[in-house]
Amino acid sequence: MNRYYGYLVFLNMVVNVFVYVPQILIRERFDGAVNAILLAVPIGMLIMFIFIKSLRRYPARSLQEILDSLLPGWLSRPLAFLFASMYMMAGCITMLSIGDTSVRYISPEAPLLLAVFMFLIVVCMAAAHRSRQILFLIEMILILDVPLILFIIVKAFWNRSINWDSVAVVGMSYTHLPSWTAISGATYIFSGYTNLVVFNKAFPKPISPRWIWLFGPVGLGVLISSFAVPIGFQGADGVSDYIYPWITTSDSMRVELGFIERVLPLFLLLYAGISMGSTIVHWHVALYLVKEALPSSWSLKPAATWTIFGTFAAFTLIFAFLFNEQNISELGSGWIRLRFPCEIFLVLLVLIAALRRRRTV
Amino acid sequence: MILRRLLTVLLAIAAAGSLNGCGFKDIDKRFFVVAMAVDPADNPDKLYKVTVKLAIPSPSERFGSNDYTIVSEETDSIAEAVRVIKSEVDKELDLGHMKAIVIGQKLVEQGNMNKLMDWFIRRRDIQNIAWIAAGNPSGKAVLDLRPHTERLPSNMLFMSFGQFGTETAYIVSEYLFDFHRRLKERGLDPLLPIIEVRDNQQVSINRSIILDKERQRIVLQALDNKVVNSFYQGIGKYDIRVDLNDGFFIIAAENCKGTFTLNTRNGKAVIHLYVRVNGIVEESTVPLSKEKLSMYERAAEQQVNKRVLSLFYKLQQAKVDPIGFGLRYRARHTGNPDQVWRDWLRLYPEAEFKVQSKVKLMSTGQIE
Repeated sequence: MNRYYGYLVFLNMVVNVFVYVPQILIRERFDGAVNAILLAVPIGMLIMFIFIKSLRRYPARSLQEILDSLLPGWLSRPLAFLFASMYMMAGCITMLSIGDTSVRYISPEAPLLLAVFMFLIVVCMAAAHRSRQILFLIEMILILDVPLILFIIVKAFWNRSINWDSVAVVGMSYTHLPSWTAISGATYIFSGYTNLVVFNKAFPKPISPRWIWLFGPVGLGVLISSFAVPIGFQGADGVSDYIYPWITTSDSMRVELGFIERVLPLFLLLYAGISMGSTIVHWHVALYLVKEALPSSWSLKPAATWTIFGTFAAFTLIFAFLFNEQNISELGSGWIRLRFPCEIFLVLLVLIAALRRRRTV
Repeated sequence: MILRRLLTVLLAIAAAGSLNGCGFKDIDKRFFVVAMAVDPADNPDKLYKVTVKLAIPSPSERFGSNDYTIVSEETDSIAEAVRVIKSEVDKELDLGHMKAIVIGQKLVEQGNMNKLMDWFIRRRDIQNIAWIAAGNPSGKAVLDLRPHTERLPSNMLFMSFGQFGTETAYIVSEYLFDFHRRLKERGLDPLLPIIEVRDNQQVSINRSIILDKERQRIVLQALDNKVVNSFYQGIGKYDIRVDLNDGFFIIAAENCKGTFTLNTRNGKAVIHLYVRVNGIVEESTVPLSKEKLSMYERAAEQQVNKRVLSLFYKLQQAKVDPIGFGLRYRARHTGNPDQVWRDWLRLYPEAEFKVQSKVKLMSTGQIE
């Protein structure tokens, strides 16, 4: 397995805290969130495996080329636009979420629009680079951030304030069937592989599925900690009072002998980095999906990239201008619900294409 | 290419220019609130008397450099009070360094704690790791102390809790977020240490209040407080007095940890409490013999059993549960959470407690 592929998947796992996955699971904690987590691992791993396996028949090809081999152009191009809009929204929501939290916790006097705008500048500049450069970028982000995030998580699990009985109270709801939203939220963890629709071109050799089973236990660990730690800290009944349960939880830890006693600033800083990385990846994918779906006479023009990013940025700014915190979080949950069927649809398309190719070759 | 770079730089400058800088205020234009107290208002028309303790920075940090000023305001809500206080001081209040919240004991007796805590939880800049306690005779009296041993205002409170400075099993420490959790969690009741003002600018913090979800139910004295602490935080530094026929001796426990298991048989809950104590003898009125250590251990165990049982039956009678037996019951039973909780409410008043303690004496100290 190429390690850069691992980074793509892992980045998506870590960023879940900022895209409303814990909120969705915690909202349904007494109605099957536990089973959703347990089910998400086999489901997520299975579709990831199918996707990787199918993509081996298309080494270094992008989604557009795969779709073109399967469908006529008038169908494949709108489909590519549909997927591109999903990626655009993914980046958009992460950015709105990090913008909202940074306004709230770091600089309360700054308007949301301005905070989002500042993030937009950095993200667009970075996402316009070549795929390989973006892979290097997320490697750096992960190497810098993940050790400290692990420190926070280990600190949380060893904390005297975490009450495992509260976690067990929630665990006792294992008899409930999970809802669609909960499964959709929980499988988000594993969906980093879909970035291959564009990044596949950056890998000289196809990804071998040999080591991907490792993501099963890792994903389960990530899901459990992002679900159980806030419950253990804030109580099975009280945790739903908080709009950002993880931020509150990071504020509930104390590093007595650290440079700073509160974990909150450290947590926000780390997750700002992680969220930016995730947004950059998503918008990079969206950019190339759109570019390849457009006729080459348009997409090769130098202004194409900036026109596309200008559109993305305009959407984000309009959302930031119109929406309050409640709308943003509803938009996030809505997107997560829609994401799962889209992902399955994408994997099915690639699978069918791969099966067809075997027959024709 | 150059044009594009130029454009980006211009864009960044434009964005930076639109930051008007009102988010940043120099440190000499700020007052740091180090502690806050809420008491019932003296004026019968108002609800709360909110008191903030503002630190006055001193050029050098030394013992006794704990200058402060105190501002009080009576209103119906904490938010209003803080806004009014802002109009009474010349600098901007900064609540980000508030590390102690003292609630007057009278207010805890009156109840309505959920309503009171709302402001503290809702504000984004208040630390979740602030200490929370009840103040006797009032929260304001606790804040208005000027111990000569402090280097910073209110530092005495910060050092007393969390075994940060003094290490003792008599002090129960409670974080703000934990208090809120316990106000919400069914089966785990809140508790608050009581800070009592003594003469000579001193305090004593060896009693605590156990609350139901709204108000004070029972006040635990120092001896009970120790037992609660061994279950709540597993703190050692515990002393046990053991009576013998002709005198008594005191065990200094290095660690003392309480755990429990919960069984339900024939519709009756049985709670087994286990206490493990490791310690040495620290003082004795009678000569002790090394050979008889195990006999002393048995005597100590009986003593511990008696104390633990009397405390838990007391808590049961007051219908409070700060250790979380109810939470454990919920954690072991499936089904509708509300139904499970109603079952427990039926079971708890008749639950039976059984204690098994294990005292291990390492030595009789430096002498026999």
